[in-house]
Amino acid sequence: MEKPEQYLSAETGNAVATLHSFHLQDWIEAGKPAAAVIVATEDTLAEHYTDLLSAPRITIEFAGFMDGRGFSHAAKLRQLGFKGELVAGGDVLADQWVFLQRCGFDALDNIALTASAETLPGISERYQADARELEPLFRRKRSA
Amino acid sequence: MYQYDQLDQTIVNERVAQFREQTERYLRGDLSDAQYLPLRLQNGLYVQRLAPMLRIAVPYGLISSAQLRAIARISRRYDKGYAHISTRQNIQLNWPQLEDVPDILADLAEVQMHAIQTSGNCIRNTTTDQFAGVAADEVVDPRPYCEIIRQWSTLHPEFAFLPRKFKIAVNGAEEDRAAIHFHDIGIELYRNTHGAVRLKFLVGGGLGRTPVIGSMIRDDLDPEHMLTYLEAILRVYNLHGRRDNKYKARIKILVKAMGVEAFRDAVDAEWETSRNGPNTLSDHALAEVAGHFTAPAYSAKDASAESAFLAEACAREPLFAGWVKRNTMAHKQPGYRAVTITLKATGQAPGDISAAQMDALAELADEFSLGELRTTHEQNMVLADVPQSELMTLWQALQPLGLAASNAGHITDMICCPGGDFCSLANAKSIPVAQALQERFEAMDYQYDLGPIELNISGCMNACGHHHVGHIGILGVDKKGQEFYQVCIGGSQAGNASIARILGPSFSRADLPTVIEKLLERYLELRESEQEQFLSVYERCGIEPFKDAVYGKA
Ligand code: HEM
Ligand code: SF4
Repeated sequence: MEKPEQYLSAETGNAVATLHSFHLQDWIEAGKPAAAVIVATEDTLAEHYTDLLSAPRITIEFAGFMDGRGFSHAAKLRQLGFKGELVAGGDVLADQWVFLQRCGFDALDNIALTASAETLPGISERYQADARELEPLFRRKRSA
Repeated sequence: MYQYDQLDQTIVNERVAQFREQTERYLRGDLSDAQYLPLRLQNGLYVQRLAPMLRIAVPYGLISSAQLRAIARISRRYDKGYAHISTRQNIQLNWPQLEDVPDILADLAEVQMHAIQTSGNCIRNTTTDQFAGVAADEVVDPRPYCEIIRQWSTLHPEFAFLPRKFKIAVNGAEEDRAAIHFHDIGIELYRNTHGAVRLKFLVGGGLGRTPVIGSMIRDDLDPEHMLTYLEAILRVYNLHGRRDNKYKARIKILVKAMGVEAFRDAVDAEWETSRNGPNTLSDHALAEVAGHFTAPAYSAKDASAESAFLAEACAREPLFAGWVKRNTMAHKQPGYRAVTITLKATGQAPGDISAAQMDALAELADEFSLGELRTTHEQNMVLADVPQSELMTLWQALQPLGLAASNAGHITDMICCPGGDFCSLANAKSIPVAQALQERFEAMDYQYDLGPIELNISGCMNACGHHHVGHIGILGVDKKGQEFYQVCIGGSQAGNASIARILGPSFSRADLPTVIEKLLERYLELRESEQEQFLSVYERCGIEPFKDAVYGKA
């Protein structure tokens, strides 16, 4: 049913006040309120996008770290204009944090994992437009 | 050829540092095997039967002489002094130590090379025609498009954990030398009636356990939409491709399950979100990348003098004439030819090349071909820009290197996977089969009489050796723990794409040379003229006469 939880904000590094979260099915049954929603990577979101856009927070639970569907769910939600908080839960690797952020995630729901992810060496340049960098490289420095 | 700027270099350098740290964590025990697996695979590192294997990306098959020398150096320092040209135009090292791999990657980065996304469930190196930019039958030069796809797909954050690996090939010539019908996405570049470049998209082709010819889903895309459209296809695949069974996870299975129409509609619906978005290519961006692939300063001079020189040399030396006929190809630029150097000497694994040969080829590339080489998916190398008057000198220089065989496209120029000698998935060995066949058909006159023929060998149904698209294909199978081989015929990787049909019950390794010989003899009996090639005879007469030749009671 409803699941209270705590998570770490990427912005501040602080634990954020708990919000009541609905799992997708409960949220649908409750008439799609503007509440925090938890979706699983295998959920089909297509019919719900419009209503999901008003959620304050969406948590995407990865069924496994090889299950890349969560990246596409997030990227798509951001592309459609989702402005709330996007949290990655379930089985993800610290090494995936940079790609998760680039797909629009703000936070991992595992505080310890976020801390270790932040210490890993990353890659400072990128070719593609993504949820954070709105212009691809070929439209930025190179097209001067 | 594309030269890195500071930004490309930063990405590759930082990726090396990142992988070094990941490998350290793994060796310390902070990452489990399962966690390290996708990280190492995304950097080209396999663990196979005897040692790790490192696959180095050769973007769309272009490699400079300096890069080839670097590979030679690396293969001496960290490996056994040789490398392997793969059927996807990449270069593989078969014996590196895991601990050395970060250093190897750092050495590669110094010459603008890397192993990023050469394995794993991500978008792999894009492949194309080995004669891109020089082929006489080229309509659109595919290299700028390949480079744009390379940049877009490199470290793409959304598509690093796909259901399965993903391969893209691009063709821009009349003849398809890139096998675009057998890739997850095949792109055909052509010009419409107004002379503007357009893209045709094929999806869901592939080999492996379930060979499928790609289906056309769009045939008139403006190049500016190439990346957003690719992104739409990839997103549909990433969200809907099967993840429960790795043998059903390729996009070909999704396209079959949905049906081509429904798949096309899903892609179009997805494309609505990103169409005209930031990844839309500007003319400026396309032109800038194309600027890396302008025609070089061809120095040869007088085209008719060049061809007169060549004709005269051919008349003087029939062996040379045969090599020119089989191993060189018509060039866009009058006075030049493109040269194929086959890596199929009897007694060596097809596609293997020694460090000494790499150094020597780099030298020859500098001397005769503007310092550039290409790798081919037939596991050969190409010098693409040789003046016709230099061909004789080049041919003579190749002889002491053991690289002058004039068998390009002929039966001993076969494609062969590493098989049971190196690969833990193999049902059977494949390299000894290649060797036995090479020995049997070594006689050049016989090969030439047979004419062009493609023979492909895989050690198991994963089909790394492309047996499904060989005119003759050989597949290693396991029969109660014994190595056996299935033979199929009639495949084609070209524009008239087709999948080979199985001839019948499998054979022991010892019987294979005789079986293949019977097929070839039957072909020679059936052909109506010397011009009629094996594949045409098969298409005309069907499989029965060949079955009869092999299984019939004589
Ligand atoms: C020795 C270690 C190797 C292993 C364990 C291996 C494993 C595999 C597997 C499992 C597949 C099937 C993938 C699928 O169906 O999705 C595959 C496909 C393929 N492999 Fe390998 N391979 C090895 C070496 C090579 C080498 C050396 C080459 C090049 C000469 C190669 C070229 C290919 C190609 C072109 C395919 C694609 C077939 C397709 O389109 O589905 N592989 N490999
Ligand atoms: S076809 Fe099979 S045996 Fe050959 S390399 Fe691929 S997986 Fe190994």
